[in-house]
Amino acid sequence: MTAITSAGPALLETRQVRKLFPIERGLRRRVHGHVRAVDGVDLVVPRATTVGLVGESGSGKSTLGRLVLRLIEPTSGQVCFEGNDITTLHGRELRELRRNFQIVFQDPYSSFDATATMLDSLREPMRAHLELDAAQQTARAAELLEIVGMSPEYLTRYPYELSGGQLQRAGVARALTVDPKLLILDEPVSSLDVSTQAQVINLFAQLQDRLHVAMLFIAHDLSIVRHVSERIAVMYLGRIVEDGPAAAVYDQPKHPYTEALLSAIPVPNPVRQRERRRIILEGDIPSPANPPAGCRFHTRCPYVLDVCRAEDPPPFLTPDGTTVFCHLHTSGPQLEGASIGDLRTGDRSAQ
Amino acid sequence: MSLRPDTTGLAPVAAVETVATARSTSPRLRLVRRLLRKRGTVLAIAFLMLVAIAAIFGTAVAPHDPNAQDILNSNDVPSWSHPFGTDDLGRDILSRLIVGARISVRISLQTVLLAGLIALPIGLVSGYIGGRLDNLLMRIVDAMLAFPPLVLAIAVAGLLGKGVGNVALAITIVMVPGFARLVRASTLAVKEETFVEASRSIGTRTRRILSHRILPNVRSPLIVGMSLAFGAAILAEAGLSFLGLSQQPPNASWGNMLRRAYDHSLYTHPWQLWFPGAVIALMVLAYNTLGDALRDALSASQWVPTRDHHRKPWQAWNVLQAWQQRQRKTRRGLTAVTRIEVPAAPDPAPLLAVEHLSLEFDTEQGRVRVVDDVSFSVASGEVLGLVGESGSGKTVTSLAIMRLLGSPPARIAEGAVYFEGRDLFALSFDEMRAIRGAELSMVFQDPMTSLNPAYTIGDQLREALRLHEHVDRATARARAREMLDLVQIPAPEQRLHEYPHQLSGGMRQRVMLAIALMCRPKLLIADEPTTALDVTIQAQMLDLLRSLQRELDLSVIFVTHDLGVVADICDRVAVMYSGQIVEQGTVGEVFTRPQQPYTEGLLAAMPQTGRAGDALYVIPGQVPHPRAWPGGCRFHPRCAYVIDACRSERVSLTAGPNGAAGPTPHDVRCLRSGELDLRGSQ
Amino acid sequence: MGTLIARRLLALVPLLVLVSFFVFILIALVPGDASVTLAGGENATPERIAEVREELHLDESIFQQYGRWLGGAVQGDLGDSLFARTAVTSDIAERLPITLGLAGAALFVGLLVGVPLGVLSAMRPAGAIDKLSRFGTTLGISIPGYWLAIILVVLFAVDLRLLPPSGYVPFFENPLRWLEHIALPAIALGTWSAASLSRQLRAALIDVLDTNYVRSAWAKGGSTRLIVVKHALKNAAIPVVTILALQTGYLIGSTVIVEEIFTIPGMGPYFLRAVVSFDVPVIQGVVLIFVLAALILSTLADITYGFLNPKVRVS
Repeated sequence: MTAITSAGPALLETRQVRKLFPIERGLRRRVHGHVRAVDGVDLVVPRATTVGLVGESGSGKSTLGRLVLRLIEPTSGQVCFEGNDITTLHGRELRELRRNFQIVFQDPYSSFDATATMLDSLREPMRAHLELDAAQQTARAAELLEIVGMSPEYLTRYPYELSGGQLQRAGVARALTVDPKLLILDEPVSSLDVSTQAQVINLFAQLQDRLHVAMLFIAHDLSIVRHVSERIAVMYLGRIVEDGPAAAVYDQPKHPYTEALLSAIPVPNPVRQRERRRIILEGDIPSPANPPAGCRFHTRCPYVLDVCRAEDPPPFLTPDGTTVFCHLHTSGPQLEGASIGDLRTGDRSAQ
Repeated sequence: MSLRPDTTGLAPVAAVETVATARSTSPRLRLVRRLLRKRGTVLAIAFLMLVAIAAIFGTAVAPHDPNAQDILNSNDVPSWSHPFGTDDLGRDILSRLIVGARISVRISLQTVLLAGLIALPIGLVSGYIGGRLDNLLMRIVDAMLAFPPLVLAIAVAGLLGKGVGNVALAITIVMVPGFARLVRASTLAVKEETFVEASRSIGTRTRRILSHRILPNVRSPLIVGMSLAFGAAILAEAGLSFLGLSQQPPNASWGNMLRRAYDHSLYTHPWQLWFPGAVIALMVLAYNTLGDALRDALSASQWVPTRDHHRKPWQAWNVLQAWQQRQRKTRRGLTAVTRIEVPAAPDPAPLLAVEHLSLEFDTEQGRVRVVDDVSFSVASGEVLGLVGESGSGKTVTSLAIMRLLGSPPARIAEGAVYFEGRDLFALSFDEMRAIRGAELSMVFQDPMTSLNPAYTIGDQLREALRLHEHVDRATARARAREMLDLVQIPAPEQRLHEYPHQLSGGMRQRVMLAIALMCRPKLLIADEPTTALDVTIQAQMLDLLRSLQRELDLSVIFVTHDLGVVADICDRVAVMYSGQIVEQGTVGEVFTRPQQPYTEGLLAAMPQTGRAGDALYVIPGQVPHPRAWPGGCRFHPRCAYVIDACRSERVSLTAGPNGAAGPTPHDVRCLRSGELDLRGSQ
Repeated sequence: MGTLIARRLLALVPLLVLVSFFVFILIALVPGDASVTLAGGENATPERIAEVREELHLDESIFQQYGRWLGGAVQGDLGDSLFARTAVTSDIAERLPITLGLAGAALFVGLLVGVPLGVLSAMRPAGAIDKLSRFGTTLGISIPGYWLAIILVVLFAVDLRLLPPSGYVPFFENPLRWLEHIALPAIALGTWSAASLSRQLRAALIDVLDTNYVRSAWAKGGSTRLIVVKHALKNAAIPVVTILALQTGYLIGSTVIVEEIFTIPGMGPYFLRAVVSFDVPVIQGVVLIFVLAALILSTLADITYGFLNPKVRVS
């Protein structure tokens, strides 16, 4: 709703998307409530842009990724691709559409069929969308592997013969086969080792530069997301709490949750890490089956106001292009778009 | 947009990695090899082949006419002309067994294959499509499964009329529902796998997903199920035959031969009962042995997706651990020790000293060393970080200290662990047990599975205390409450009565910590205690650990892959790579002035360091498998500063340049440590 | 927990309807004109054919027949035997306790041998006991029960003359004599039960002994006994209970042949005679009773499952 550029409609836009999973209980399995996995999300992914989507468990970030792909059906709301609502597509239309979206999963091992060779797995999207003969398919598969930095010899290998990092790169190759306009990356590096993780993160950054593919990078770690994203959206309990340019979100968080999330990531420098002011949030993340009223974060927020307990915070657009959902910007201290950090220093005029 | 991706002529984004290991043998071949490794399986196959020959050639290979009566030679004991003797009508028993084999083989193959063929589509469709169809089909299947199989088979065969064909039909009907359930269950499991989701997101048609993704993965469990059903089919046919419902006399079947001997020779010539019964039993035994072997071989084959792949790499030793699990060895709670020499204890003795520890695993491909000459010590009140990537040996090292690695396959090949001067590897099972949980405690990575789901939190806390101290219930209870309070769990009284599944991950990890601290241990080994937790919960946990460590003056070994966590909580750090410590010293020293290129690379590759937009520092290549550790310096194939000497010379851990001069020791395993100017974290 | 039991009982209703329908339509398997076959085949007199048709209401549609039969069954009337002219319900009432006694004794043998064998085997997989017990149990599930029964008769009754080769004495008449008569058949049946139970328990225990929570228990300083008896056995019992119930249901069915061999006047000989002579009401009645027994057992198992598993019990 904020990032629609002059180039026409955004590549991907969700409008008040909701996904409620019913909870059945009792003798007659009556629905006793819902897990509000995604609860009214507006998210925009512009063409050829990487958007980072960050949140902890229960935030609904992975559900949102699957909603966008129509791997699960939204309860309400719309998902628009190039301005067209795709939530009503079915069968052939949906399959056709899917060549525009591809996904890379968190667990590289389980995202490949253990009984199929790499070549077989890489051919699958070609079979579905491209008209190539067998030789062309093999050539294309080899080419794709080379793009992600792997020898074509791997084509004859089974998944268990590859390391996690290699499989994840093969996963990227599979996703790129049909020239998608949007890549959904669902925690693509969180199961990898540090050294392998860096290889894959760099791969994404380079692919984006060269192929101009848009990416939705879903992760729980803000520090990973900022390496590849132009924009970052932070989710908490099914809602977006802050959505803005990567630098603004990372360096001047506007939402108390973003601030806490950033402060919780330990820095591998003992001097800096021990000097940092850390915000330790109290308590557990509430269950998405029973989210708190008002602002969802109010139960753990160190700056909670009375209004937070009762009213949903409205969106607030800050001068640096961030949309934040927090009462601190409108009521109480009225930060009006300033960084949360300023609340502590008392310098409210700083922008 | 072009139809073809605009990737032609695009240079690879990274240097193309060549295949690291030689192509291993094909999965199929390995499966066969695994199958043939056991003598019992080979015998079973040989027997089945023998029976198959009898079944195929029948009368052609029988020494006598199976139906020819010879009253003069009735009830003959085994002899050269009648190896198994003759029955009460003088018919040759061996010949009748050979002819009877055809019935048994035919029935077992026909019924199982037909039932499998019928059940496959039912199970596949029911499992994959789900919904009302599934509901309906499964209700019917459940209803059929409620029938005791033998009773149903007798009723169906009896009502259809006597004869082999009707018996085959009856057995098939009885088998279908079981197979359908099996296929459905496998389909449901495979359907949830990510690769099926991947196929859906690619836009592959449902029909193709079923035939090319689900079916190949459902095949293995069905094959195993069917191979175990062959025996059941034989038993059922022989039983019905015994009751006179199948093959009709005078034609022979194993079951009716047994019946004839029972009716006519039980008191006079009981030996006649042995042959048909033994043949049935052997046949079933052969089928079952083969089925068991097939199941074991398939579940051991990496070809078949197993849950092993779902463990995170930092859970260390994917491959080895998976192998260990497949071997089905239980953790016996005391790792075997096969060292020859015992290294001396350092003087003065620190709280814990690990001296030249080497660990080996016996694997399918031979003995593999996974930890190689590791030495470190922990002083009283000190927090030592043990960091490394998966396969570095950090977790197995910590488990070896506790002697919690299962033997086989694990064994302590060399070295010693001195805890307050006592050599832990010299202790008996009971002596070690007295230390474990009392003076030396451990917290594991996965809080979701580390608590026993069948007992309450309170029970598990009290147990930890009562294993080591003789206290009454009330005291134990009070202490349990106190400990929950200490680890800052709200409403501790109530939590005592709750079961693990009622608690969140963060809460469970606090409970694990409370259990570990129940007896006030001197040393706590924490193996990735925060890895499975959310970031904000990890921050709480680290905060709690830090304050408890100070409060209780606890020594801690903190095993982790996260350098940020080390920077946060540890005093000293030991960096591990490929089973060795490559650098150790105070956290400040090692992180700001690393002396080993691997440490430098690891620090630079952390996403927290470096500026956004800049490419992250990359250590090229992969962590080598323990079986393929390179010679010379183990890091040399990935090192940016490699010189020829690194490839051949054995590199030992020595005092680094600033370590020798500085106030605290800083050890480095690098030939060039003096001359390199490495960057620390900023 | 209450919900669990209620739900389980409720789920039984459609299952019972389906199962009873399947039992009833066994009659449809009878080849040719059912009334002719059931009346004794080609030699049947027209009067007899008409009588059978009348008695089984074969002129009505199969659903009407089913409704009539089910209505009777619910009130405890399973019809009369076509030949003996006795009420099936009272015939069964006479014989069922005998069969249940035998099945119970066999189950006792199975548990007595199977449980310790499974536990010992799982404690040291690939150890000497395990290897021996694996061979023994594979053999145990491969040997036909009726053959084992005959061999036992030859050994203990014919050769050693320790136990009677056949016959039966009711428990309440003389418990000791009952035991003498029931021992061999119970062992013959119980061997399979013990072997298969031991295999299941071994597999379940090995899985549990490999879990993280068992590792936690070792790390606390637990003894082998504590680990196996307290931590492992309870969790391993959860899957085994379900299997045990299923097996017991089958075990009751397996009594049929063994009773025939030992001439025990239980359900077996009664059922087999009915099968050979196409006595449809008897066949239906017996099969229904066997299925009901299996269903009751599996329902009990599900409730036990919930009781053992706190995730189900406390929700």
